[in-house]
Formats: sequence, structure tokens, C-alpha cells
Amino acid sequence: MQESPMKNNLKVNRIIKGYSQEQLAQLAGVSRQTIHALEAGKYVPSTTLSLKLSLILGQKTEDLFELEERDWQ
Amino acid sequence: MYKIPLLPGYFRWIGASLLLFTILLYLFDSQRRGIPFNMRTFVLVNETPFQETSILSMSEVDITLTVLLLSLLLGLAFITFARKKVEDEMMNTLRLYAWSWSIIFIMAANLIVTVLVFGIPFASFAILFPHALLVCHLAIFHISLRRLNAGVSYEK
Repeated sequence: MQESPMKNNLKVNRIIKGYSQEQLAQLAGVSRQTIHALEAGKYVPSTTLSLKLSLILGQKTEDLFELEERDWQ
Repeated sequence: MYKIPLLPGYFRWIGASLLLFTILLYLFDSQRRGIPFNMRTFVLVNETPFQETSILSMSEVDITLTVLLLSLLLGLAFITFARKKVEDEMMNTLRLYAWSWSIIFIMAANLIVTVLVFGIPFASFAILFPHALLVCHLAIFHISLRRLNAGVSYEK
């Protein structure tokens, strides 16, 4: 659906924290499919969800999500 | 930010039952070879051929087509607007995406039918546009969801 999905380090940080996709989904109040789509780079989250995920994973939002050259085009 | 009004999840099953009822009624009506099922009811306007025109009054009308179209439309609408197990922002995004494309498809189909189809077939196509819109939305929504979920497996 998203033509140029944003690069993210969600999966690495989730594994570091020891959360499963299901657990992270429950904490963030979304479905497991949404977490999968985010990790696979198929979906770009809203500001609210990005901030929730950064709080849950104890990382800054800009460390979880990275802008790439193509995102400026 | 904006909440999309949705029906409780069990409406999906009511919708599926209505669709089944529509199919059974259609088959039953085909067997009867078009014998009208008349009923006296209130009408806004009734201009049936070979009948007196009635406006805002009680009138004897064949309700087979009305029941067929109504049960089909309600069945599809109930399935379309039924709440999913988890409703989150990705679902809302998918819904918006599916609505946008289904409206574009139906507009294109409407243009083609308006320009190229004449007479009674035009009326047949025209009355089915709302149903086609819902079918189109359901198809796009579920195909997109399936694509996003591709490769999802249980992870402990």
C-alpha cells in the first residue's frame, strides 16, 4: 500500500527488549498485523503510534525511524 | 483523531445470512418464472406499467425486486461496516484506501455505462451501483490486508 515505506529499527529494538510482536502490539494498542507491517516496512505509523512505540521500547523516535534520501523526493 | 462509525462485529454474520437469503430468494424467484409477489404497501411514487400512478398513498405492488435489492444492500453494508477484531490506525488507513479506489472504479464504471449502455440494461446496471461500490470496497480492503499480512507467522 505504501509506495516508499520508511526505514525503521523496530524489530531490532523489540528483540533487544525481549517483546514478541503480540506483546508489543498489546502494549501499543494495535494488532499484531500492524506490528508486522511496520517491521516489514509496509506501513508508516502515525505520530501517536510512533511516540507510543518509542516510549515502550525506550528509544527516541528518530532512533526507531529513519528518513532516507527517497523520502525527500 | 476521527472515529469511523462501525457496527459491532456480529453484524458480519447477520450480513452473511442476508446474502444467503438473497441468493435463496433469487433462486426461488427464478423457479417461479417472474410470478409477482404483490403486497399492499405505502409508496412515495408508483408508476408501474399498466397500473394507475400512485403518489404518497397505499398501493398494491410487486415487492420481489425490492426485497432482493434491500437484503443484498443491507447484507453487503453489514459486512462492510462490521468492526474487525482489532480496529487500529492501520485498519482505518486500509479502509480509506479501499474507499478511495472503490469510488474511482465505480465512477469509471458509471461513466462507461452511462455513455455506452442504453435502455433497460442501463436501469439494471444503475440500480446495482451501490452494491457494486460495497463489493469493490470489500475486495480492495481484503486484498490489501492480505498483502500486508503476507508472511505473518506466529512469533513467541
